[in-house]
Amino acid sequence: MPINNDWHFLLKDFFRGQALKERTKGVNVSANQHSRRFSPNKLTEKIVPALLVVLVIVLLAVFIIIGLSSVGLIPLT
Amino acid sequence: MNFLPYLSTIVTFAFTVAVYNRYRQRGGMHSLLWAIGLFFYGIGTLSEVILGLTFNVFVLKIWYLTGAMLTAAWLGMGTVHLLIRKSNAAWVITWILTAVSVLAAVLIFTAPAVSASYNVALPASAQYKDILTRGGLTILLTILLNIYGTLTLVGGAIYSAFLFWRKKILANRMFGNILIAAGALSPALGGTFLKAGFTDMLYISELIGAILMFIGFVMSTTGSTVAE
Repeated sequence: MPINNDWHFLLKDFFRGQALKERTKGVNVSANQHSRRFSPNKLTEKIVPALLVVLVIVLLAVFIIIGLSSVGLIPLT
Repeated sequence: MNFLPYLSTIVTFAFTVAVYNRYRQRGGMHSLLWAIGLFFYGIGTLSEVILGLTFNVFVLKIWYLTGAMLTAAWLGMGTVHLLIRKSNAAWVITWILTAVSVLAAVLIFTAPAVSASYNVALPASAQYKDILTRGGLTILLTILLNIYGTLTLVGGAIYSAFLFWRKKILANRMFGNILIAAGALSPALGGTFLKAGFTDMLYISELIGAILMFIGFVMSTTGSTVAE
């Protein structure tokens, strides 16, 4: 069974609500040179999720500050 | 601080060429739209360079149009095309953005401006409000375009990084997207600092943003063997 788990496939797959593991069920994904799986380690298990959360918080903070200043609740110029 | 736009311009145009070359080699509307957004980014920082040497109302208007209104929205538009490929929604939004961009250009180029008070020793970001008269619609479009652009560009990069993390694949693209998200947030933060009165922060944030996004792009695309 051919596997086409490139970036866009994953994005499209996500929107279709299909799990990747269902598409690759019974297939040794790690044997595919294009899959480029990485082994979980401290960096990917702890730091990456924390970074993503921080980015989301900063993104929300920017919008909240701009929103509050737009309605005059924060006296920015 | 006046040297920062020089560096930003060099980095941004090099980034633009890299993204455009990727579009020429591999296609993909998202790459073309990113190249357009980066071109606007570069034009904005180049305008800062020129405004640091001499004042010109036209250049100030170009700076505001590209830097403050269009860059984030067109970069975000590229991300929308990447994430929503089979639907016509991305194309509909693209045409809406094109129409809004034309409207923004008309509003900016017809806006009255006074040039008497400009000081080339100060950043344009510290003076433009005293020179360029912006109507309510212009300010509204500026806010909406930046919200749309930041949300789609940063949100899209965070979302992509999250997908790679969840699937435990393509670590280079996962880290690349984290850098792209951080880099895209940098000018947004700079704009927020600008509103708070820290006018110098805009130039620093633009340079940091361009560098981080460029590194993120290189990380995401280097070693990729899968055709898009």
